[in-house]
This record gives sequence, structure tokens and C-alpha cells, in this order.
Amino acid sequence: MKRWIIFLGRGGTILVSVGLALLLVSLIPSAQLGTQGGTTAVPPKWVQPLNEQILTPQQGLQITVTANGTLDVYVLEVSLQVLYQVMEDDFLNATDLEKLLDANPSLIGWHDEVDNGTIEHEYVPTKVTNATLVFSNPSSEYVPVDFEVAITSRIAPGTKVGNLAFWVISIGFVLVLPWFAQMWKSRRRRKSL
Amino acid sequence: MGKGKPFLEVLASAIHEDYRFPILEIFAFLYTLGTFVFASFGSSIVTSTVTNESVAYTLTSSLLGLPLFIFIILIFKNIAYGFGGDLEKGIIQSYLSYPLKRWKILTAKLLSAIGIALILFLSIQISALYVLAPDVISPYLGTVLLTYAANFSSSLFVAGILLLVTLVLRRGGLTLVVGIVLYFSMSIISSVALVVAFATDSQLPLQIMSVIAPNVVLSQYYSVSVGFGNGLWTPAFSEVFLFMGTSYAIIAGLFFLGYYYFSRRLGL
Repeated sequence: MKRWIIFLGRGGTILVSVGLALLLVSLIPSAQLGTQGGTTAVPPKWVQPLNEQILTPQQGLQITVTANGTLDVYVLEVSLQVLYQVMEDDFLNATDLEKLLDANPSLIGWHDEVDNGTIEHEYVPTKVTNATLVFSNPSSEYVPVDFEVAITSRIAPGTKVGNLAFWVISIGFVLVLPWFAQMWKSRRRRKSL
Repeated sequence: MGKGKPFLEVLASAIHEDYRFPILEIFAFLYTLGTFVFASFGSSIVTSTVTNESVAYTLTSSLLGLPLFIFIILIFKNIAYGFGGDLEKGIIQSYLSYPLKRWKILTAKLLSAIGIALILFLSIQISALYVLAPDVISPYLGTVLLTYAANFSSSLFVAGILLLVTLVLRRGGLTLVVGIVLYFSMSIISSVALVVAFATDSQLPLQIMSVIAPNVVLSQYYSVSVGFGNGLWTPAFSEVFLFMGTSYAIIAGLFFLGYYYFSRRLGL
């Protein structure tokens, strides 16, 4: 049997085993460490910070927000204290926040807009960071909001690892095929002799 | 036959012997699983003042518990059981008929025994770290590699001694036992050194230990060792390099002795 086929085949079997381990990791469920929720009304042109946490890449925020109006939902990678200091104000204004985030887009961990509906998202940081959940109301009316924030803990980001497992296993199988085919052929040849 | 061909033949044969299907696959599976299961960001969540460099160090060293032990088992198996078994069965003697110098035969065996295992271990762990926390690992890849270098030192030290013992005893099973005893003795001595350092309020035991295991000096440098030694010794970065350099010089010396013994003294 040609050596390069064996070499690629063993590479493939290693990739398959790595992929299976990744798949197993992605299937380990996350644990909920705590939940915070409630109802609030965000005043017009106003910013309402809600939840501040120090998160690691093994933790996440499971966010569910229902708004009766238009509302910007942010997870900012900055502490509340720093946010107030940067904005040089005790009260946060939606326009000022927009200006701040335009100037510092790296502060945005996640952003979405709710328009008379519900959004669900799991935010998982890629470094150890402060994560502050912020509601910003750009409209000129009060927006009533129902929200629930759960801190989740898992050993690895499930979706990312699951996708990686799929690709690694697929590439592994492609590499293994010529090796298996050769083995099958040589076994048939031996049987026929 | 080209000049490099006999070397590659011996290397291919060594790899084939050391990593029969599915040994490499099982170890790859365990490394991947262990990397994610043991990954921890330590106390960084409690204190936001911890630097990202310390987080990178904490995360990397958290992975080096059981996965490193699995790596050491693989190396021990390859050197003691594989190489020792080859000496015992006369396979090495058959390699001597190749147009190759003795040191090249030993290099091929060590590349297979340690090199392949090291490449597999590092590539899986660093890739997994990158998947887990890209923004921690990318900017501090130097810290990550330094942590690995510091933690591998004691394993390579034991591997060097194991190579010498294998060459002297020429028995696989017995050498494997010697290696395991040596490895656990090192762990016990390391713990004793920490206790003595704390009891005598002296940094000397930690410094002595750092000569063989520079991960001690590195943990002191990053001040994340939660044990007794915390705050007892605050080494400078140059000291970390000094201890690591000394440690690797000792390892190089051990392997040089192994090469010397195999090339000049070993009667086969």
C-alpha cells in the first residue's frame, strides 16, 4: 500500500477522533447559574442599563426581551461604572450612547433591535470581559419591556464546537476513504488467492 | 537509496511501531476532550483587575493537569516500552545494518517517540484554546507557548532520565516502572518544596525546584499560585528565562549523554 495513502488515512482517523471528542463536548448541556427578569418601561430617548457581569468564554448570557415598541438591545463589553465615566453623565441619553458606540464599536458585544416582538439570544464572550445589558429607546414614546437574563455556564461554546466537529469529522472521513478502499481491496485480493 | 532514505525508513518503522492503530486516535480523543473539560479561567472572574496575560497563563496551565499526564504516559510507553522493547528484542541491532550512523537511528526513534506526541498534543491544545477563547489566546500566544515550555520541562527531564535508564537496563517493562516512580517522585518533591518554602519563609526551595520544573518560577511570576508559595518570591521576567534556560540546558545534557552512550558505549 502506498505510504501517502496510509499517512493521509491516519491523519483522517485522527481528525475523526478529534471531531468525535468535539461533538461530545458540544453535547454537554449548559448549566444555569442565575436568572434575573422583570418588567420595565424605558423612557423616550433614554438608555437603561440592566445587568452587569464579569463573564469568561465558558459563561454566557441567555437573553429574552419582549418590547411593545422599538428598542435597541445591547450587550456592551464594559462595566457600568466605566460607561457612566465615559459618557460623563449620571443619566444616559440614547443619542450620546449611539455616538459613543460609533466611536468605539469594539465595546459592542452584541446588538439587536426589537420592534413590537420578542428576541432571544445567547451571548458568549471570546475573552474575560465585563458584560452590561443595555436597553436604548430611540423613539419618542415609553417602551414597556419584559426581559429575562440567565447566566449560563458551559465547558465550551456549544454551537461553535458543534459546527467545528461537523467539519473536522467530514474532512477526516474524506481523508480516510482512500485508505479504507485500499484495505478493502487488499483484503479481497487475499481472500481470492 | 538516497542519503535521507534510510533515515526515513527507520523513522517510518518507528512511527509504525509506536503508534499502531488506534493508539494515536485514542490519545487525540483524550487530548481534545481533556482540553475542554479541564479548561478554567480560575479566579479571573472574581477579580477584574487580573491582566489578560495572567488569564492566558491561568487558562493554559489549567489544561496541563490530566492531559499532560496522558502525554507523559504516551512518551513513557514509546521510550521505555517501545525503545526498550526494541533493544530487548534486537530490532535496534537490525537497524545498525542500515547505512546510518547510530545517532541518526536514535534521532529517528526519539522523533517518533517524543516529536510526534508533542506535535499532536500542542496542535490539539492550542487549536482548542483558540476555539475556546480566541481573544485571550491570539494576543498572548507568546505567553501560551512560554507556559507550555515551562510545563514540558519537567516531563522532558524525566524522559531524558528514562532514555538513559532504558539504554542501561535494555528492558521495557522495568524502565516503564522506573519512569512512573520518577514522575510521581518529582510531583511529591515539588509539593514538599512548597511546604518547606512556606515553613522556612525562604525562596530557596522554590528556586531549586525551578531548575528542574520552571513552571514553579513562572507561576510565581504571574502570582496566581494559590498555594503556600504565593507572595514568597516575586521573580523578574529575566529570572523566568534564566531558570527555563538552565532547565533546558540540563535536559539537553541528559539527551546528549543518551546520544553519547548509544553511539559510543552501548555494546550491541
